Amino acid sequence: MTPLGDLAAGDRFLRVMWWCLATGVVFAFLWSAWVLLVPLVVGYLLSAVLSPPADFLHRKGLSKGLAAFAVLAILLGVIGIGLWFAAPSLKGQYNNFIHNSQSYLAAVNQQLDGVFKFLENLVPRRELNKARASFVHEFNVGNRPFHSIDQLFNIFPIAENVLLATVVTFFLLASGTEIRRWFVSLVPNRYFEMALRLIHRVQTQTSRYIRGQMLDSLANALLIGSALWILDIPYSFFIGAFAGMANAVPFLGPIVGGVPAVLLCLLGVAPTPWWAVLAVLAGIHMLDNFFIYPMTVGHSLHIPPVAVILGIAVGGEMGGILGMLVAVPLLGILRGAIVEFHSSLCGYRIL
Amino acid sequence: MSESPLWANLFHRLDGEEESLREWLSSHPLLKGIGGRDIRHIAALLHRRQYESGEVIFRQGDIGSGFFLVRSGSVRLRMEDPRKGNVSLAILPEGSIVGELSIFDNSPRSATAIALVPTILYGLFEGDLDRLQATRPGLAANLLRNLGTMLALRLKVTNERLQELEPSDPSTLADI
Repeated sequence: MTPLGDLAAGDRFLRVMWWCLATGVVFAFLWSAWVLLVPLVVGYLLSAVLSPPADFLHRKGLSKGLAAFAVLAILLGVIGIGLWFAAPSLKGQYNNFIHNSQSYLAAVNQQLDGVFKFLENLVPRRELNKARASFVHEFNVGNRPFHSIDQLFNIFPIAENVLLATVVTFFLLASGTEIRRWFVSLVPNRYFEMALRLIHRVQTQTSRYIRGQMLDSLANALLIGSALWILDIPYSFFIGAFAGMANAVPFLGPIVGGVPAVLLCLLGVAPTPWWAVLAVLAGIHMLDNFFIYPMTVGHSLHIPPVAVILGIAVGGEMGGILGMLVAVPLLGILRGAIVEFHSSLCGYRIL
Repeated sequence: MSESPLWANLFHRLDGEEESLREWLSSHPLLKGIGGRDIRHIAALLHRRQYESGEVIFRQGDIGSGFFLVRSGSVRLRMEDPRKGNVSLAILPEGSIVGELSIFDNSPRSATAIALVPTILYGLFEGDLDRLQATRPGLAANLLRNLGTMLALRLKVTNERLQELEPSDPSTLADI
């Protein structure tokens, strides 16, 4: 680039103005990005998943905008129809859960008595009582049973974020190429080809990873939900959906996903023995490890265990349970980006 | 006001440039037999870059991921040989293709390309070609066939030049 001193006064002024404007835009973006982070991330993930059907419709002759609109309309339609049919059952399960929550709490308290008696030998009694009070308070604030479930869903103000995420998805599907071209046009000539290659590689790798991970989670949700329904475990739909989402978190996910079902058996809510549920969940986990995961996600984005644990801790601190669930796929994307970035810097002899 | 590459790359596509690009592309051998609507589609995939005189476009050994069409100006191809130093290979005028081999094998650039005069290039890269193959496979096949024809023609010319050389000193031929 031409040094600032060699430029004419007008050109220098314009260039300084340009950099001021660019800095302002970056700061404004960072300021607003915090609020828009969830819809932006969800929109990006959705567009990565939906780009093949949108490309298919575009190939069949629809304009990009129309293809994006059609894909989103079909998706929302399918979700809407699914909810329409599932709503009575979901509502029944939810009402049943609320109705029985006090008796579950009583059962948990009873179970805790045994645990606390054992722990009294190891930990000072005062600390134990404090921990117990905090635990009960977390689940029963203001006589609202299982308050933390409300908290879980409040993290994600659904209607507002769904709308924003849909808009982001639409624009990324319809104008992703133009947005990328505009961004690349800002890169100086020396790094232009490298930037283009980097964006392409990262996008391809992360799209595959996200699509694979979503398919894997869906397969797990269906398998676990169906297995629990057959085993006559209550709330099988919710537990299956939760286990499917939790499965995106390596190591801890399958354990956390299985806890609610086993806990319901231990509390006597479900008639099935806890070991039977545990055995079925372990079987599904093995099926996933040996067949489903290699077919859907593969091993392209292996994340080191330490990074997973740190990611979950940071995600949990920033966004609660949803933060934990989103942290690992984001780590996968970040890892892919860093690997490609490093390889590009070496390839272009910048490193 | 002098126009630097930064400004040129940011604020291009003015004064009906898209239209003139499409006209130019329709007469280019790379898009031979490709219709107007498809040319518009390809034009939308190309990346316009402007280089100052003497500016390096890519360096020998860099990872290559696409090729450039010389829209205006000219490009010198230079090879850095450890024994002979810098060897000038060719000067490519308007309409030429630069760096086309890397679109096929992602190999490192075999030569350094330098803009001889203020030069405008249009680049087509791996990602855009992949997208073209996904969305319009027929068009991508036509484009690649034309590129193959151009490469075959270039190879033919090189072979003819080699035949013109007297093989009095076999090492000369081997060097070439």
